Amino acid sequence: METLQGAMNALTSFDLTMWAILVLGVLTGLIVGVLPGLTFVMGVLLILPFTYGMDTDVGIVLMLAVYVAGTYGGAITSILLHIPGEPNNVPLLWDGYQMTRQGRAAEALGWAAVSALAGGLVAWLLLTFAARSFAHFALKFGQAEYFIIIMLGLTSVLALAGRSVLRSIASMLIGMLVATVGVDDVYGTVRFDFGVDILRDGIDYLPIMVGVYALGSVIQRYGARFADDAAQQPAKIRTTVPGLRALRARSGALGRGVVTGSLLGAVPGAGATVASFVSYGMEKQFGKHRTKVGQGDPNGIVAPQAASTATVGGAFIPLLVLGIPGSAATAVILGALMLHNVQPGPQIFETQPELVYTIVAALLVSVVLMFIFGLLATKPMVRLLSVPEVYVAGVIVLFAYIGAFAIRNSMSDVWIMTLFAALGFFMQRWGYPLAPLVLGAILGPLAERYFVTAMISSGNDPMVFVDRPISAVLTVVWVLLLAFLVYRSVRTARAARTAPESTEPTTSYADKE
Amino acid sequence: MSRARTRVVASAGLSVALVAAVAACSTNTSSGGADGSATFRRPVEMVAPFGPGGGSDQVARAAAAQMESSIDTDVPVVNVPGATGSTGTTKMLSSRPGESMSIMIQDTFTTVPAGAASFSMDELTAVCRLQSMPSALMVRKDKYDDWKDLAADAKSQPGELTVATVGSNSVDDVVLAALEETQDTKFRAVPFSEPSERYAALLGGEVDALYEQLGDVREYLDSGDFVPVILLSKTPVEGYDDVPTAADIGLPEDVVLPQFRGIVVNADTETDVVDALSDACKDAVDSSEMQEFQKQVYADDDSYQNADDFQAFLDEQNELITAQLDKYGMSE
Repeated sequence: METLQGAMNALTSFDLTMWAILVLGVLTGLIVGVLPGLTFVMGVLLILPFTYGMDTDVGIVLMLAVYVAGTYGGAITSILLHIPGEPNNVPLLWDGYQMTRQGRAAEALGWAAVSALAGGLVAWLLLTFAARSFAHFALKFGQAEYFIIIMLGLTSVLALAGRSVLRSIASMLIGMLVATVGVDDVYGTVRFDFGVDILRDGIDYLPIMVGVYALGSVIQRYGARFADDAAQQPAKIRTTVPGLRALRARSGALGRGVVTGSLLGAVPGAGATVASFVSYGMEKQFGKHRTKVGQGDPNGIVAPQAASTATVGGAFIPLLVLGIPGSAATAVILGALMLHNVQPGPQIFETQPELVYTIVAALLVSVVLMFIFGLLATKPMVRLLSVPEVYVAGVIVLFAYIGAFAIRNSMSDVWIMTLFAALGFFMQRWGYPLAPLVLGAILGPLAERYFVTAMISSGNDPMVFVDRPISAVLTVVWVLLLAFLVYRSVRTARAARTAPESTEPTTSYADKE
Repeated sequence: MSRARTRVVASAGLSVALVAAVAACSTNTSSGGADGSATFRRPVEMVAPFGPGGGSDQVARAAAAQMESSIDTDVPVVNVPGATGSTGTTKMLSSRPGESMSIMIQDTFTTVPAGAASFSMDELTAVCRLQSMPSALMVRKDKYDDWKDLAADAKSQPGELTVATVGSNSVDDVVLAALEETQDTKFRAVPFSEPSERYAALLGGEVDALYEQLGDVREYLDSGDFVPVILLSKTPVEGYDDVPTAADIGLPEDVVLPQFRGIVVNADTETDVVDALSDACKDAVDSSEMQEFQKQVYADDDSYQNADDFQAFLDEQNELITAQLDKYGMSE
């Protein structure tokens, strides 16, 4: 209650500069989110030098606004152009872009905006009212727990698989293998570099992601000779903002996404990307619309987007309460605070209450501003789709190359992206789904690091994954999920064998793309 | 049909042009310092070989901001974490000499004699030392009272108590080995590459102890959540007079390796560029902003060393650490 009071006081005391900074930050975040390769973590890092000369609160608010809006900006390009601006926007490709191709782009964008708003608001409430207890709960997660959460994310790949489970697994393994190239995180050994300098630096997942999705789909459309002139026939833009009744119908997906996002935001180690993948996987497995998810169902947008934005509030909780950043972006913000000689942590509520209240208030404002700008952008953005697709393809190529170069300012990522665009194209041709490849490349290294560290800390005793209450529960959930998936895929396979040869196999979109 | 084909060709041509443009940007030539006056025409990148928010990242950013005005060019900081700092140092070496420098800390340095580094010291030239600061072995409050308490528990279950460290083959491992030899306490080192995970592990009880610089965890020390049980410092640290130093419990003096953080560049960098950077570094350390920062993180008053002194210091450290590693059987 005290926090709410303080935050409201801070909110009313915001002057014009603060509002201008908030607007600037949100717009920057949206732009950073849109550019593939330039993640919001890098956005916050790039903004950092500008904050040196600012007052502490102004600087922090600017970075906070970039961070919040950055989790959402990429949704726009994922849905409209099949470019995942951020790794956490990858799940939005599956249903979002599919909806665009069905002529429902405005609806898809509306759902993304509303979900981001809801995710941000709930995480804000949590930060305001339950930060302390929540932070202490999040501390109970250790390396073993993180590992199982990552495994849950990787398993969601099987959910995306449709019928070609084996091909999905193969694709995922390629992704994980590629991610092992370079210097290993725990022991520092150089692996699979074959004496090539480009490879010694490792292969980042960002060029893989941009290559197979953005560039890969352009190649494919070239192949199809851009069959329909416009990317979408935007004849009828139906709804933009979903109404209350529609919202209530999807409250389950929203709720699951928000809970997953807040929790994974609060544990150090997992961030928006893991939260987004895990909540998409849950929707595909257990959601009310699970059979439709993957073929252009709003739930496939609602859950991951709500989870992504909810991680922001979640990540601020351990930062403020314990001084431990819950995500990479909050780690940067922690560094900025310390350069301003502010030490967040157990005592900050007593020593710097105004700063805490300002942060809490700014989170609320940023979430709302992000929503407003997101909605304002919808109509002009959708109109963009009436441009002949060949020009849209040019823009995608431009974005992809700028993005790949921006990752580390190095040409090697540009080459790697080009290579993966080709690989993605052929994999698709031969019926290998791409989602598992990207998922494996993103989550594989995390899985390895958490597994190795957990095993070291237990003296190589695998019981570490079950002997603490939280790890035990998570492991049980994971095993059940796995068992359920195996059962289901065996059943579908048998049904397919006995059923008469159907004209159209029931593959999901995630499978085809 | 033909219209569509024209479009396809045009769009493909556009793509190729863009790729060429991007490629051209990256291979832009420069001649920073080549005329002998060490003028910097291009930005000098500062690689922080650890994640954002940690001690190396902070000192890199604090110093870079001040150095920019001294050498009158941009000093962008990039984080390249991984493998106890090896990854970032390798990245610096792959840039053009004179246009990139990287933070070298003791833990990264130790990977060289340990045979685990992806670079060699011959490839590097010292620029300056920014910080020299005490480390400590610490525990969570209410778990153990002091070193005796911790040591007693460690002896009763050898190899079972865990210590969070910065990475394999780091100084942390050397100190643990020295403890094992002189105090008969065998700990299990658990490497965490992310500082946040390291601190969360001690706060949440995933590990029993933490090896860390006092300045990096000041907040938890001030709040009483973390309790230092041994100080790895030659001089006493204000406010921790009751905590035994390494010498007090009988650790050999060589083990009291001061944690240092400095700047290194590619060995091919022109001498006057190195000198200019070394001077800029001194201006940075002397600035009131950085003085305040140094005090906050318990850095020693005589932290700064110029290029020559830091090089000599590194050579001396190399011998010391090699001897330590041999002694504890940790070298390759």
